[in-house]
Amino acid sequence: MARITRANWNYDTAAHLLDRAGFGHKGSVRKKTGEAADIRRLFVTKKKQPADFVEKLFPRKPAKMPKKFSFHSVREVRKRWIKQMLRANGRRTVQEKMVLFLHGHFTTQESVVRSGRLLERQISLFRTFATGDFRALVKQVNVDNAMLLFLNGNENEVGNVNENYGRELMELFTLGVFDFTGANNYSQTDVTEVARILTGWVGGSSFSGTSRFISSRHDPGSKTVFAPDLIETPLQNPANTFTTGDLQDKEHELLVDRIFDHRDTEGRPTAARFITRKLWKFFAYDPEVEVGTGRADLALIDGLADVFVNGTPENPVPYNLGNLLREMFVQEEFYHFKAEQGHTVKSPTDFVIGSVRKLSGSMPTATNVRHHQRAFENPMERMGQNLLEPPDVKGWDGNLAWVSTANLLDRTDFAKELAQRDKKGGKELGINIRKILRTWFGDPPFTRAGVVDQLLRILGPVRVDPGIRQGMIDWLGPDDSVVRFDDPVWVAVRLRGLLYNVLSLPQYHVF
Amino acid sequence: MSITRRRFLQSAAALAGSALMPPFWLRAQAASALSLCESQTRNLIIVQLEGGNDATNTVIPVSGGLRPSYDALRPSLGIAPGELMPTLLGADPGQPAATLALHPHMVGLKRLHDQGNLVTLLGTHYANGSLSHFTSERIWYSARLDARNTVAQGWMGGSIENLCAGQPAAVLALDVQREPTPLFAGTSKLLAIQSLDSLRFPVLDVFFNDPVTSAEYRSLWDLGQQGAQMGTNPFSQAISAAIVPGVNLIDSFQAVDLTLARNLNDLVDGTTTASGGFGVDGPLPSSLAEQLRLIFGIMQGGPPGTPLGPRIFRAHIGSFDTHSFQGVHRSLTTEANLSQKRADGFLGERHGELLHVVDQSISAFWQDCVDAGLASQTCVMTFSEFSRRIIENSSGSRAGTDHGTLGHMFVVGPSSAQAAPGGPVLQGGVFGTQPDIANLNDDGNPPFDPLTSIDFRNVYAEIMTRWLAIPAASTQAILSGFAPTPVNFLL
Repeated sequence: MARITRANWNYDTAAHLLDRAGFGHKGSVRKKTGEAADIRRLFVTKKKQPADFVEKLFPRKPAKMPKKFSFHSVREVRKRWIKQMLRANGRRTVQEKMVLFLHGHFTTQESVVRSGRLLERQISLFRTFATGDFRALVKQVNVDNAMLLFLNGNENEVGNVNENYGRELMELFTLGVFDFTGANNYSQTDVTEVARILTGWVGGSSFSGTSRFISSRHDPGSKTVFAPDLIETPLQNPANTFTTGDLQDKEHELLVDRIFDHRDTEGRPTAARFITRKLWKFFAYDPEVEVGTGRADLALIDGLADVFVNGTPENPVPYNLGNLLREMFVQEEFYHFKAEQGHTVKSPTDFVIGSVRKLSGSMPTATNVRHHQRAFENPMERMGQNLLEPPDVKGWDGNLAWVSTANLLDRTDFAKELAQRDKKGGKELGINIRKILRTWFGDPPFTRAGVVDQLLRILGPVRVDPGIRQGMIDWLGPDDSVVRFDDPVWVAVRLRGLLYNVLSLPQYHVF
Repeated sequence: MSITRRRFLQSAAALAGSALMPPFWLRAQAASALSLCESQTRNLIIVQLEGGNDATNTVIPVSGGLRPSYDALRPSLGIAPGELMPTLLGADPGQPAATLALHPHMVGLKRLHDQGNLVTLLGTHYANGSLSHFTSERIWYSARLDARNTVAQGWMGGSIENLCAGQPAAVLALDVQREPTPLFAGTSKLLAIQSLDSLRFPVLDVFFNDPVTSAEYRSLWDLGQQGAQMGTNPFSQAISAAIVPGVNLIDSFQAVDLTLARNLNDLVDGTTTASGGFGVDGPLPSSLAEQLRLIFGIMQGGPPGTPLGPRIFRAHIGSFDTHSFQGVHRSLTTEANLSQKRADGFLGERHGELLHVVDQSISAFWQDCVDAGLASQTCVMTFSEFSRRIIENSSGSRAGTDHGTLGHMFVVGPSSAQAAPGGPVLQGGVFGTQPDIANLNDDGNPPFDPLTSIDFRNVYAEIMTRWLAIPAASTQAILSGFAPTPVNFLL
């Protein structure tokens, strides 16, 4: 696992870090240098190491769980969350990006939960544990009110076992159906036994948002999990097998500990591998689709999984997300692909939030829930990512799943709306064109090439072939004298048109 | 604001008499001629029931050896023989003493059955059925029993590549969904759209009415797309490859007329009062009828004599994963609600309502096909990734079912009266035999019996060879070497 060195650290790597570990810079450009201020702060001081710059994006201490939650509609909850992402700067950067990951991982749907308050509580839970103890988070999710509703934990009781959550806990949230060799990690019997362990929890009233344990609904019998099954799990390591009796409300916590102790057919920690690979896919690229890297990626995943399981010398705690993320963000491999134009398709959230931030855009204010819906939520839903309503329990697959004619035309539509609208005192969706004209391009005289190059740099950097760059230069006008920021027609047609074009380039939608 | 179809047509008309260059979107007409796949003229509509459709309550034993088991295992969700009289299907081919019926809400399919347009395939699945939605779905999509985390080639993806070999610009399939499903994995000759409205190429409002600037912008956009396609980044290439054919076809699709599907229109607008239906003012709780209406419009093509490309379609309806409250809506918590629903002529069961939507949508679609003279060229099939556990997981109103295995497939197609001369004829009736719910395995599911259950790949093979006319050897290759046994529901 090679780490990136100070010598290889520059504007481009800093920009990449901010784009992937967060939602990109927030559009303040230093007129003198033409660099985005947020990015500049991540590489200027010559004394610091890359790890020190990475650290600046992590919280000093975990976010606090709010004491109470108000009666907000689901739309309001979504709107507040989007606002959090638009304002995720500095030490809140990684935290907020992790909330998005965790929401797509521990999925629930608002159409089933139907409570803004419970969903808000769940998002706050993710924010609190964003860079914290993942094992502890799983235990919290087991008894989370929204999750109990979504995956029928409420209906799971002794004698009437409902397998829904028990199955997804292992299949989607911790182990995966198969290990890296293709062998089953658990059997159907395990699903039933796990469901029995989880019996007894029901959602509380939505005032408190917390759930409670009802002893009479809990299955007190003996349960054996991960026993080798001749047909389904013949290679199951017998050391994984465990039996529990009647531990009442503590039983689900023991279950989680044992799940994390599970070793796959190669003797590796199954959950750590599964989660690490998923996080690497979210923040870097999907190891499966990388032609030519094959098993070499596996060494990287296992190396990172090792850090996840054992911690670091500075922070030797197990299953700490912060440890894993910090290690991921200093890998050479994390930056390597950026130089070759990237290998992940931006999610609609990355695209929408990132673009609005970089253009110092605004969103409709608190009183305008309907405007907000038209401006953000409907487009994001059409692009395939309706926050709080993933299409199914496995969340969003990403990459080519985002790519279809309709989705791409919807992205183009959003790019058009964003490019042609003005901020209007922060009340509507729009960009701050005055700030852009004032700070992005330095001082006159301006050239068409200068405008094109700076636009591509600040929005990305987005790399285009010389032919396309020349086409953009020609679009701005026949010669440099047309570049007049005080000419409203030129700005409205040519400059905004160029902006729209860059936001529609295929390269802009790929990390 | 985005451009609506009306504005498109208005601006096109305004420019018709002028000397200005026509707007770029009219260029698409020339491109549409390239999009036809020349070797495929028959329509195939695949309707996916997502979540695991409960087969046990879709085709129900009225009498015979399995009725007592049904009564014993489904005390809360079971349907009495008295209610099944209007939807009788006839004898179980494997056990002639047993009579079967469709769920009471499936009156439309019952009518199609009586007319010889419906094939019911009982007990279709594969051995050792996976109980994971995603794994089983991938198995059904890829026709490979070892499907794991991804589907490299869907059975339709492979079929389309075979049918359109050597025709790179062909667009043969349409997935009526935002994201294309792995059913079509392995081919790019498809579009994935949710509605006609989403197919328009936006330009800035400020030069929307300026054809010169619009054309100039379109050239810039084309340049960017070419750059992506000739570059080295596979995702940029995929993005460009996905958006360019769609843009080229936009004008062709603008000519689609959704009002032609009269029966489907009535269903979508809520003006139909089919028996057992939702009542005059009840909207359908699913978009399936709208999807079929879009499909019908595209099947009809653009202006007369200009067929559009797609002939293979996928529609879908979700919410079949009825782990709880399968027999009643969660919202119907009071007797007042329940009795009001009964007064409306509808029992409000969660699963029954879904079957009703499927039934009404497909029968309305078929009727529209018959009226338009498309029956001989059209075939509809349904599938689900698995069925559901026979034993209920709770009791009373909360009763639901967990994941199961063997399910049923329906195929709707032309009877001998409607078939084209020399063309394939649907052999209407029931095939296979009911899953043996009296002998459940340890998981609580009826076993897949190699002698009496139907491997779903046999159904695929028959459709591929006899409906799509793909040669047998190619069919076997697409199905990863599977050697099919004929079911003979299509001859």
